[in-house]
Amino acid sequence: MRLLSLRALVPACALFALAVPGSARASGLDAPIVTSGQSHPTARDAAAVYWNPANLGYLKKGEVLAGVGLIVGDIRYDRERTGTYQTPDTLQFNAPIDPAYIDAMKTGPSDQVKANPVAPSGNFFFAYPVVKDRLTLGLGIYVPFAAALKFPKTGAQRWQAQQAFIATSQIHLGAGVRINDFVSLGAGVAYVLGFAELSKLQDFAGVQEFADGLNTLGQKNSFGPEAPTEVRELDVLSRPFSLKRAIAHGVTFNVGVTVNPTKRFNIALTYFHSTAMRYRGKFAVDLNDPFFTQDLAAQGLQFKPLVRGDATLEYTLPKRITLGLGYDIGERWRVDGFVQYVRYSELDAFRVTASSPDLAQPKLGIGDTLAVNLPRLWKDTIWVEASGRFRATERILVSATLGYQSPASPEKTIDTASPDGQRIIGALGGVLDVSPRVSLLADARFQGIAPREVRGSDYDLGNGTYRLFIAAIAGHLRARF
Amino acid sequence: MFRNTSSIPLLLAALLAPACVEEVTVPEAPAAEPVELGDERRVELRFLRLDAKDFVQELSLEDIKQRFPEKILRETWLLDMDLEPLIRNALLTLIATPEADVPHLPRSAQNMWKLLNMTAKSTSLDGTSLAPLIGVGEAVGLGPATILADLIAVDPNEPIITVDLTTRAVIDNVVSTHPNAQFRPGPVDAEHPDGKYPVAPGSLPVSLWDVVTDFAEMPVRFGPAEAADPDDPDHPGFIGGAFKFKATTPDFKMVVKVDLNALPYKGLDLTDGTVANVNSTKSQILSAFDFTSEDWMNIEGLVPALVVEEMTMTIDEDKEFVASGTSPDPAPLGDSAVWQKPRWLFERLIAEVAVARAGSIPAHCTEYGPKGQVDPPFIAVQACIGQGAFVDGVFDPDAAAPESWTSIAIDDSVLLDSPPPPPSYFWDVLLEVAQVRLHDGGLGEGEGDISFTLKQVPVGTTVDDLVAQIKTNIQKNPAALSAIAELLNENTEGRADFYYYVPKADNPPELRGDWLYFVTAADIENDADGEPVRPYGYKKPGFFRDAKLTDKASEVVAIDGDTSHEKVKIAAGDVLYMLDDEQRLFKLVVEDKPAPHSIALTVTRSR
Repeated sequence: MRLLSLRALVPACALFALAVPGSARASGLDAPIVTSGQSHPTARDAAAVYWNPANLGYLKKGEVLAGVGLIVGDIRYDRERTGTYQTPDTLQFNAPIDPAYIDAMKTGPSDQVKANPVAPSGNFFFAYPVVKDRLTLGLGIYVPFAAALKFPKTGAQRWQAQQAFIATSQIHLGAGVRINDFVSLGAGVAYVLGFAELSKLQDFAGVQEFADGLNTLGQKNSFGPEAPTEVRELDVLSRPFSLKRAIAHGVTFNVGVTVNPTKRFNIALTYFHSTAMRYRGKFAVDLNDPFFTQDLAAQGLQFKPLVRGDATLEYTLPKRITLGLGYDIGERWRVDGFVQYVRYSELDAFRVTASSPDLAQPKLGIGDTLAVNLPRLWKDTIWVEASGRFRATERILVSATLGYQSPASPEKTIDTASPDGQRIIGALGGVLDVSPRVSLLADARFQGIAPREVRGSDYDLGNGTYRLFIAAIAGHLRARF
Repeated sequence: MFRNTSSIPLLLAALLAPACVEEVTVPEAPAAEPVELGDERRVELRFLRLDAKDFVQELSLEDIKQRFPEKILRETWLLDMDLEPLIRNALLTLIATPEADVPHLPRSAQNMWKLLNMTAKSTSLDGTSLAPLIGVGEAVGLGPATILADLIAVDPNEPIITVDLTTRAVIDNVVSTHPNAQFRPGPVDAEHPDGKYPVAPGSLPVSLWDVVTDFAEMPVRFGPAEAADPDDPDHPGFIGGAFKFKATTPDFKMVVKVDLNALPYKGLDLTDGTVANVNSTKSQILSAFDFTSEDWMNIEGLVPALVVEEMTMTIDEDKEFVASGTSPDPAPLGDSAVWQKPRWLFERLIAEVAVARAGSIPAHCTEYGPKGQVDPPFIAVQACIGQGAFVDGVFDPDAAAPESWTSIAIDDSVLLDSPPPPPSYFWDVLLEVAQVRLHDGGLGEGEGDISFTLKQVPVGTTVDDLVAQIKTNIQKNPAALSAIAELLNENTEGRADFYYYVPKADNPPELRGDWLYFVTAADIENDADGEPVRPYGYKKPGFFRDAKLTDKASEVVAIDGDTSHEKVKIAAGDVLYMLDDEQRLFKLVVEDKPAPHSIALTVTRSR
């Protein structure tokens, strides 16, 4: 009974969030923190199943690494319209628009909107050497990709995103084979579970099917994905849309190799494969306006006030290749770092397809499926991090990290659904060895972008200034046995 | 530790709630509640234009039959089709009936055939007052045809009653006098409160109903019809039996292109304070068509040649023989009883034809003597028209006479079995001959009603002309299509008492802004039979500045082609009063505008 009560009170997204390590994302869809700050491509711990399974081969004991954290973010957007818009309470559909209908006030800056996501996180890693000094198996449950946003419903960004929650968790099985002290190989396979929810105002001016429907009526119009600003953001065509409970399943793999030219110097090279994600969920769109429900019924346009149905969200999680280096300067100091190249260019769009018999408007040639592409056209990114680690005492280790991520979102497509920029990363960490077997790890990680001014957004959808700051704190327990 | 562990899920939910995305929902619309006395409600109305350009509406036969009430189709007038070509073709077709086939026609049709083919030479004068001319001919060696032909000033073999004259007479006297050829049904409006519209004389009013029903109602519509005045005689009709005329092919369609705001106006039903739709089509119909474009209307799928497959024309005769006149008075037609007969009767028709025929006969006298040399010269017969008179028993051919007054003077030395015909008008002569000939073959008086069935009679109008005529008519009166256009874009919803309108931006400044329009009868939705769903029960239409409704604020101003609605321009702070269709008084207070093309009103029921 208590379980039922809990499920009734806590929606699926919240339950999912409980398991994820981060909700405000880093570059692209990367979660701001996936593992402890002490885990990295050249680290030899249970999290190597994610960072570099080859390093599992060097584990001499079994290890459990489990953590929880809290992520807070501050994302701000000052929209600045550079296009020409018609008065939002009119419906002139073919550009150029009669100047009488141009809204001279709808230009320039809008009120700032901000989102302050707060989300718990968690991860779990386990490794066990099944063949001593040769073969170690690992298990990881973690969330490498996540994003959570909650902007004002009525803000100037409302056509981009109002709320979004996208996360993928991975259950990862890996194995590391120590060839010798110099070389270790590893590989893993992961089941990818994705969960997505989002809401926004869907601008029907940008929907091809709507443009086609008007064309069917012989009405030349400027609607469609390439609609100019003059016909966008009209009150009657801006309809609330939500995608809920969308779940995707996928499989991916990673491989890694560690080369230790010397006992102090480690080189790691890993590859993580891409995953095509296809979320299946439920959509709802509010068409409760007489324009959609009754005024043009004789012409074949008559929706139910609330249309619900099945929806899919598709995109590809990128492949990535990472080169990690680590060097023990002495007994107390170690420096390490990595360069990661992420093929975010594989993510060209979020493709949303909504299907419902209630969408069909046969007379207008509109079928029961509407496809809405949210072009992303992301760019490949570079992620560089360097850390210094200092063993202050026998039981305490502290670390500091500096890093940089290049933005995935180009000017053309950036919006509040994917705020992005030149990102600077900083982190502090510490390890307290409670006993020879048990350690406590603490991390504080920060990242932010310099205010990014965008003027080249396609169709003026996302022009303005973006600011982003994310802080994450996490605590992990590491036990070796 | 928590004492109340049941709060844990709540705390957890609160902690995790930010991660959730709210699902889009639509609240249930509240049920409409009647506005009670003293109730105050705030409503917002918006004005939205969806300016359709070259909006193509295609109507197939099936569309027309299925989508539109019969009443609307009957009231959708396309053209008044000139019947003259059809009547002429019908008469020509009858005339052209081969002589060998004539005996197979009904007796009355045979007689009509004879009348139409009647020449001076072929005319039998037996049984008429002209019969003595036969004797004259025998006496002086002249054929009666010669005297008759000379009198009428035609060749002996030329038809006396021409088709043109008969056609015109049928149109003017038989067709045009039919009640249904004088008025056609149409939508009720201020100018036509009885829903009757005049028809062009001599024309067949063609409605969309006729087209889609292949003119099946013609025998009924143009059959016997009661006179509007009970004291007047009923019209016997002129189409009897079958009338088979299929003007359309299965591919028939009407295609129109319109430019209009396709969205309804948003109004308010004061009864329950709900927003209602008023169809916007009618008020825009005058400007809906771009007549500068050739393809503003196309009618396709008409038959290549408009031919009536079969039709039966009827012309009734009087029950009694109608005596010809014997006096020139009363001028100018004389004293025959035929002039008191209804115009559609055969006798009157013939008399009218004769009057028309007489108009082309010049006044003249022709003298006839015996054959060969007679000394001294001897004039046996004088036949005059329009001149000549008996003065003191002596015929003077140069004496003045009324126009078309016909005199035949025979010298006393000519012995006749019966006296010569007395002077009379030409039409009296012809009326008598026609009546006698009509009853040839043993038909009694009252049995000579003419009825002839013809096949493959060309309508006399080409399809292109027909279409051009329809387009011209609608161009002159676009409102003819308003009912159809309104149904094509049927979007009336609710029972609005008034609605909100924003004039186009190209209006003068004093007309721009926000206006309230009081509904007219034309704004009331029609039911499936084309009848209004509610009566227009407004006893005091319009908006007033005072609760006593003495100071009217609204007037009928022409805006964007609308000239029928009481309307008032409003601004924030204005206070107006109005009566709804149940005679309840409402006060409207105009609030600040919520958006450029929206208004807010506070509505209070005051009585």
